[in-house]
Amino acid sequence: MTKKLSNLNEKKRILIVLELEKFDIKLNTDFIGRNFIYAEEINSTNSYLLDKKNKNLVDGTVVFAEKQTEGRGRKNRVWYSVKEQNLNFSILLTNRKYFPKNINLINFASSLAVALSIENLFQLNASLKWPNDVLINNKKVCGILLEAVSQGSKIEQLVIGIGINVNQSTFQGTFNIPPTSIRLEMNETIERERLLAEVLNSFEEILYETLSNPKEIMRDWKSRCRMIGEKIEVNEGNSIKYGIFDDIDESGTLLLKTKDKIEKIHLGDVSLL
Amino acid sequence: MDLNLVKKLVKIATSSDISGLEIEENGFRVKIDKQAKTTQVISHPQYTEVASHHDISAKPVAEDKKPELEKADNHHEIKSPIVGTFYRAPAPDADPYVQVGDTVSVGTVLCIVEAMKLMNEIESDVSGKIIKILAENGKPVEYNQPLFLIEAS
Repeated sequence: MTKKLSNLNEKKRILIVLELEKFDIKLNTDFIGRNFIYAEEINSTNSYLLDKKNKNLVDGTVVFAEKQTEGRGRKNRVWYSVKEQNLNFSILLTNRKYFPKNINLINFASSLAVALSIENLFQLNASLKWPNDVLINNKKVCGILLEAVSQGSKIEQLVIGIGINVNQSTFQGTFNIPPTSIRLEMNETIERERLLAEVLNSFEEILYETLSNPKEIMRDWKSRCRMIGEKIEVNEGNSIKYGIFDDIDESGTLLLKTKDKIEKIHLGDVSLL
Repeated sequence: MDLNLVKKLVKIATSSDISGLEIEENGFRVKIDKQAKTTQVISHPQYTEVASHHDISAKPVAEDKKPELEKADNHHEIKSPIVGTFYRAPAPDADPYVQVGDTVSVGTVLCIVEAMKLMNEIESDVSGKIIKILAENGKPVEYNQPLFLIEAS
């Protein structure tokens, strides 16, 4: 039985590298991903786009890597992803025309794009965790890290790094939130090309909407956030706060209801009590 | 409103034949009346707390050219592009990116402002010397809050 499985994996292994033609046919964007950089191995897709050597890349460039040797999350936490199983990519935005007035809305736009894509393609219920994790059955399927470079007081470059667990079937290590992959939830191998194109299509659409109708984006986002109204713990690094997750305001700030007041939370790890 | 801008406007008004100047930008109105010898900075009511804090620095400025005003023209403020937490170092145990007195050039990393899962690295857009650090490490900063004062060279 075990032997059979490994044979099957061997066969699939040949087909496993991202097929660019398949992806390209499904891509339906104006500018996101029109310049697409494919890398077998890279330190980090975010670092690549932020590297000064690559500063002339066009707006909307997407860099994709089958393997990241230094994939990371917030606070330099490691983002580990098995080679050729998942989607690890970063989107570059350089045109301020596409920056919403409140740049933090991109946190919500990008995670909403991933959740909607998973729902559309696989009919799975994807929920969202503040500020931008995507969960299926309370397990993390996608993490997002945004990095920006400002010159003086103006943002010049915004990089949205997205890691989606697609076909990985085992996870080793310790996690704040238990991980899952779409394959584990669906019990079948997933076509990564289609999902990647869907996420980019959806991201561009939502990015436009973030500019024209930011309230709608926040409404959609909040409707998928199951923690609102629950007792939570917020770990801000140097302090832990407890309270009720009251709401998210229009700028995306978490409103934490404590004994005597409403506190505004801009960052931190949120978990249910 | 930027104090330097007010000074520049005063300079323009002083060096020309016009009797006064009135300019409105982003909800701020500056009115320079050469007869009255005053400059008014009027903020609109829709302004936020942060903006009204800025008003304090934009006190009426006399239109006479004073040498110290000329000097202050070199002073360049770096303001926060986002609401978030201000970090002077890449990690809690690492050395700060810059200290008061350090010489910086265009592109030197000054700090990080983090909000949600957005890490915003802020680089200097001028060459010069850091003369003041206006925000405290690890503390929240508002949109447009001044973070550094740099004496441009």
